[in-house]
Amino acid sequence: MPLPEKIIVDHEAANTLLTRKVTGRLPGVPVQTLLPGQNISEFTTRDNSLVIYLKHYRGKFLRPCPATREYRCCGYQIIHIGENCPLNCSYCILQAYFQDRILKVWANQEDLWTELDVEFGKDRTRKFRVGTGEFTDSLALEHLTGYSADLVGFLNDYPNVCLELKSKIIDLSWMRRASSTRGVLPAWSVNSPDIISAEENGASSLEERLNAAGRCADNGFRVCLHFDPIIHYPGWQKGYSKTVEMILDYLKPEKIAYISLGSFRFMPGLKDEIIRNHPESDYIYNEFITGMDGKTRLLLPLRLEQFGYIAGKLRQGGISEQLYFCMESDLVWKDVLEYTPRELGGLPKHLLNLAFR
Amino acid sequence: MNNLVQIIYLAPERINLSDSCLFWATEPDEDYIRNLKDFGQTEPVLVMSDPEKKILVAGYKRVRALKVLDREILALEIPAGNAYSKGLTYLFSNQGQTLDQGKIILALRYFSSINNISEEVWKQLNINPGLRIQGLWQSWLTLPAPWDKLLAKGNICLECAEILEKSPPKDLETLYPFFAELSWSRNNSLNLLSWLAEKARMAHTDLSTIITDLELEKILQADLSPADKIKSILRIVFKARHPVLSGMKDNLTRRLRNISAGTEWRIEHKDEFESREIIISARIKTRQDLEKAITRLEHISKSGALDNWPIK
Repeated sequence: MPLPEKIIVDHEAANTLLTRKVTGRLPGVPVQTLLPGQNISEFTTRDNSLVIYLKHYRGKFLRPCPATREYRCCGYQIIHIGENCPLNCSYCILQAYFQDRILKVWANQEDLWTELDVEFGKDRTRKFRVGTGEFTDSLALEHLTGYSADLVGFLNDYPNVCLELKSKIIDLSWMRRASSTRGVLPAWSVNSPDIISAEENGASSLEERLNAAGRCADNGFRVCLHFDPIIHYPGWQKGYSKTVEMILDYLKPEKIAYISLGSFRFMPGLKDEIIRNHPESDYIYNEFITGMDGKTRLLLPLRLEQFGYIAGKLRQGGISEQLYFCMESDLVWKDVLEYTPRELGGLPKHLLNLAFR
Repeated sequence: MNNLVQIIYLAPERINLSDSCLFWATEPDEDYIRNLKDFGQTEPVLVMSDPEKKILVAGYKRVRALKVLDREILALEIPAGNAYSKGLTYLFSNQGQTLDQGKIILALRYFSSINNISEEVWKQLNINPGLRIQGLWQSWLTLPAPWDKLLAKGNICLECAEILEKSPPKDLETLYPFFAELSWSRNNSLNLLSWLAEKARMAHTDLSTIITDLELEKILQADLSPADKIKSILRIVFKARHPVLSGMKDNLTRRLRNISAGTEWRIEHKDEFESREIIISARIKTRQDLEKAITRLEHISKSGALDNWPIK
């Protein structure tokens, strides 16, 4: 990741530990304080300039994943630590979610700890599966913020919480802060090597991700993998076969807590963003329909073909009960895996069991 | 003297009517000439100073009508100006005109030809600078001028410019007859162009090749009504762009038609194959009709025709 052009800090967050850490790690980068009444847009110049905004966040830190009624959601809860990502994946939904590329980091960690303590501490028998990789990559700014390491350290006192750290890069510095291997699930997005090299600009290679996953497994952690987004392109079978082969080379099935399969799906507005920002990406011209949740998705038989193929390869490699679909209907579950989440007691409960196994 | 505005009378032959700044010039009709004859010229035309003939910059229709009536023309002579000031003067003096797309593109072509579409010009044309609409007009200006007539006629919508501007001259030439001969609605024109462009992109070829391969020119020349030509073209292009989906839709239509044939039941599926849900409806007049319909519905239910729907 290149050096940021500047750091902008909310005046309330000027003296937080996190702000001191980030500014200390970027000594040559100018810091500007955002005073009350000033807007962040006054401080940004070029569209793609890299700016870090250390924000005093006033919203709710813990929130449910935005599920829909029509498709099965995993029931994951998001710990909101910031927004946007320094990687430049062509398909990234954040392009449509956010109007700028400012990397926002919630700098008032004390408020976060207070809220999490209330939520996780009030009933220690209630288990939570949480993660930070929804609106940002969990580890992409770790070398500057140490956010995930802080979170891992904080959650050592809450054995009822399992934290998933989802990323496309390698940074295992959080590992030193974990007092047990049970409360953290390091996770990587995986894709075919063709898609990674063409569409995941700035991310680590598949080999690097799986190598890191293997190191986590060697250190006693179980890991998660997410085939998301699965992209339908000429030669996809060969590409995804290679990915499965590599997974099996680096990880024993019992070291994998779960693997999700999610087909490329997007809010309709993302198509124009991809055309504008990544004109060379042509997978968006595939056969898509508007799903029951209003998102654009690959036509059902094409999804089934891909899911069946990848799931089949993973099952042959001994990975079976850990498989689940991200935001798919019972129709897909039944056709590919021959059971529905209801038969597992519901997907959130099933994944909670796998996470805490 | 040259900087003064003055009112003068001119013989029609002393006025030059051919300046390109008169981009909306239209000929007077009989009613207009009669009105001018009855009521006289109530407003002067605008001319710019010139050593030989005065250059008309507003009032073309009046001058043409007064020439027919063989009358002298009341004119306001303003100081000479460059092409931009002539165009802007013409635009100001025609402020009351209804602005349709044909008029807007004529004005923009004029100012574009002198490389000066200023913010003032956009405002005079009721186009707010910075909005998407301005970008669309800028895209349209990249197209060859003959396309302007198609826009003015309403055969194609302005939004198509975003796709057309990316097309090489050969593709524009191939597409032109489809819009010259047929008048496409906004959605249809956008669908046609985006499906063709996307198909060409996926096939790593150009749009002209796709049009030739799909034999769309034959439909254009076929003995069909314009509406049927549009329908046929869109059906073929959709099929080429979405082969799996269109195959599924065809099968579905056949399947549902077979199931409901000879019954009062209408069966529809609206979820793009994402669910098993269908909508079954019927119009019933009497209780006897209802009983018959229920019997037929039971028959449909027992037939197994919807088994494994919609995947297999």
